[in-house]
Amino acid sequence: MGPTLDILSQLGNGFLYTILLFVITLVLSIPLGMIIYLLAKSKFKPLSYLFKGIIWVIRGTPLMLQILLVSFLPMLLFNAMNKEIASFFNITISQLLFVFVSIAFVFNYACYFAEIYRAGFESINKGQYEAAKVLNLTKSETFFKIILPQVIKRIVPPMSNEVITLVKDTSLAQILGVVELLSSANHAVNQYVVLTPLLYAGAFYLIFTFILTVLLTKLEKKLSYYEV
Amino acid sequence: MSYFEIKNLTKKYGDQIVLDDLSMEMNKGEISVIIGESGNGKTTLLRCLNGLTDINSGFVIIDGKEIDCSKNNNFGLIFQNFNLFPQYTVLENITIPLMSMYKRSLNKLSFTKKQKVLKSKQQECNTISFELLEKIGLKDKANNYPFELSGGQCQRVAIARALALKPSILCFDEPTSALDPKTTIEISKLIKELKQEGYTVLIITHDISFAKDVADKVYFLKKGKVLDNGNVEEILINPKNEDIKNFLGSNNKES
Repeated sequence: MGPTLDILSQLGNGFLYTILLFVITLVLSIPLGMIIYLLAKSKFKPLSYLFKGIIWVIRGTPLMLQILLVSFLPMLLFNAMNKEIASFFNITISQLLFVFVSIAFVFNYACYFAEIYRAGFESINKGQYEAAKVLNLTKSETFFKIILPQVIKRIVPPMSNEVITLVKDTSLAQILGVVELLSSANHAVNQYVVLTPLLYAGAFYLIFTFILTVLLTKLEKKLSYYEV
Repeated sequence: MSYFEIKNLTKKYGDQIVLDDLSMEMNKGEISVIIGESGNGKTTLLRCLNGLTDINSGFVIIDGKEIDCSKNNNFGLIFQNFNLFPQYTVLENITIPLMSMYKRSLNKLSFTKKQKVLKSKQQECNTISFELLEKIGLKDKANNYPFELSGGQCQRVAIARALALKPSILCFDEPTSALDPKTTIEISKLIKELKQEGYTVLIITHDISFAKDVADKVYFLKKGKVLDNGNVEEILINPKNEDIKNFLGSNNKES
């Protein structure tokens, strides 16, 4: 196998982890963000303050710091070594580290999404709730049929922004040794003493974000059949 | 005995009394118009009747039966800015509350049976909605979205949507505030047609010429009380009350 093919296959391996982290983060943080948003606006004040505080801390500190902290949590909380945890769950250390990274990503993005949801819900005219009430719609009908579709339409552009940012943020996973796209490129640079792997990695990111942009623009167009 | 009675209705926001022991009566099939300056409780009264805000004390009686406004099954409300659901077509705006009504009536059935009945009901809802759209003259707009309609057309859809649930009393909040003079005349005509069909209508407005056109009975609200009431002649043309004279005077100067 020539060096170029070898480099590309290494990058491909890294890219799989990038995509895996990307998908896990989105799939879990989109609903978790909704839960955090609902808890943060809870009428029970202590709960509301707690979750507003969590949003403040997570948005106010670097994601890399959060990844590192999560990886030390088992030690801080249970005085357990990562090796013990991994053997307890019957997974390898590198799989465990990937789980730590995922946890940090999911919570970080959920907090950003919670704030986007908040903006979305607060932008809905109070009259829509009142019309639903006067027409005797149930609470769940009001939420799922009337309010949520309008919220989704409004939050697609800011959500797209976060989704694109997430693609690039995945490179932070290498702080715990996860060999994602950028770190696999970096390894190849050291191994072959050429710079091309970095260019290839850049191209991978660009193509990935390009595809996402196209898909998200399509979604936006699909929702533009009406005006609010 | 009157068809619709409000007895000693009081509504406070904190210490501020918005509706002060207010009482009024309306007959079936009449158009009643409430006028008065802003901040005297007109909109609050409509919001209380439609269950959008709780009342502090008092009764609301329709056809001899006391009703609980917070459950709102008796009033239809056409909002000042219509509040149509933007993501749904004109037809869907009417069928959604209808379907919701049917769904609630089926609560006791099992899920699969419910789905079966609802499927057949969807057809029925569409038929009812089309009939309503025909009545308001917008059948050809059934598949348009609210943003594609003019203000007057949106209002007609809002009326059809409210009528779908067969309310005992139809309430309008400032129906002419967003309309041009020609559309205002059309709406007056439509409201009078609804009266012919037996609907009881309650309207809140600042628009005196519109009130003169449609009202059977006029109420003048001041500081949360009905200061005076009577027919158009008694209240809007030759009022005896100084406050009403002042109100009409300043209203004429504005227009």
